[in-house]
Amino acid sequence: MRTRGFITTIGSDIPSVIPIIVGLMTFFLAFASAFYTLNRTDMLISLSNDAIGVGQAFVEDGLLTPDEFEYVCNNLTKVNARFYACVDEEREGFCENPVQECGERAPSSRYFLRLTLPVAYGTGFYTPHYLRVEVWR
Amino acid sequence: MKGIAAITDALLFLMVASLAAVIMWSRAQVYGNHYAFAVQTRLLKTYSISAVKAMFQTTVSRTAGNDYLLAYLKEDHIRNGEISKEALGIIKDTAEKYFEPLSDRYDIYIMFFQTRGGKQNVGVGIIGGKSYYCSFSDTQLPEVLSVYPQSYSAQGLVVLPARNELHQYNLVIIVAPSVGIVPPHCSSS
Repeated sequence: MRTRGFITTIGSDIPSVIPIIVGLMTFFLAFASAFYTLNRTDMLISLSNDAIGVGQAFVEDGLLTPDEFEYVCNNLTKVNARFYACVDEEREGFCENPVQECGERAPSSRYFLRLTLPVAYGTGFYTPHYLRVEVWR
Repeated sequence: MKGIAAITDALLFLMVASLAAVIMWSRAQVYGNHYAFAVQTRLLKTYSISAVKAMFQTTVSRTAGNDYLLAYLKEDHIRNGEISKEALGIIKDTAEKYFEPLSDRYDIYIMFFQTRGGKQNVGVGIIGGKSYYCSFSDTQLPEVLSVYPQSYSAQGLVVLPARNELHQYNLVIIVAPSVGIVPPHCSSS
């Protein structure tokens, strides 16, 4: 005896549901991925602008004294992001043994960007140091 | 027949959705890569300009007391109307320190091309982590840079006094991903 398939008003359309679901999933996954990439890129651009802005406020003419560092730290208001800055002599690492520091470090859960700028630092006798900036949102 | 038509429609929908997804995803990646490159270039330029500014402000120890590098360079230049080997040596040592974080991955050239008052073209190259004295003109620059697939540059004017006139130099800073080839125009002595 021959058995017939599940052919009813809706039954014959069921196999076509699978490609539709796959298509929708592909589309929305790509949409989410593109949205994430665009969002991350915009955040990167915005943070890098902030990091350069903060860095240049400290080392405008390549020279930095401890008093200037303190002053810029306390009076820098034209940035959208929060920042941490330090001066250190070490090439490696990020502010592990800072000579001077200020601000609040980025929590690990936040987007952040780090920038290192060279600076002649001291009081009267200026030697090579690195100004390190961490901006975060 | 109705079932086959429905599957055909669904497959067409899958094709269109996949195509849209591929286009959307690839455009987003291109946008991301393009801006990541632009940001990296800007950070490199900012670093290089800051390094040169800091270099000239660095204190140089001398027998007659301490002075900053640019003042020393002016004083040195006024004697013979050119940048001496001794001054270039101090620039080389100072540049090494400031460009140390970049020198693993990048080759750096700090060149003084004289534009008025003479024809001295000298500078310092930090190539493959080691520093060299370089001597080539701005017309030879494309030849030096031809080994690099890409490079970033910044420039500014430096005016140094000679005995009865002012000499003008075009200070050019070039940063390029390191290829480890020392050009024939650069040597360690």
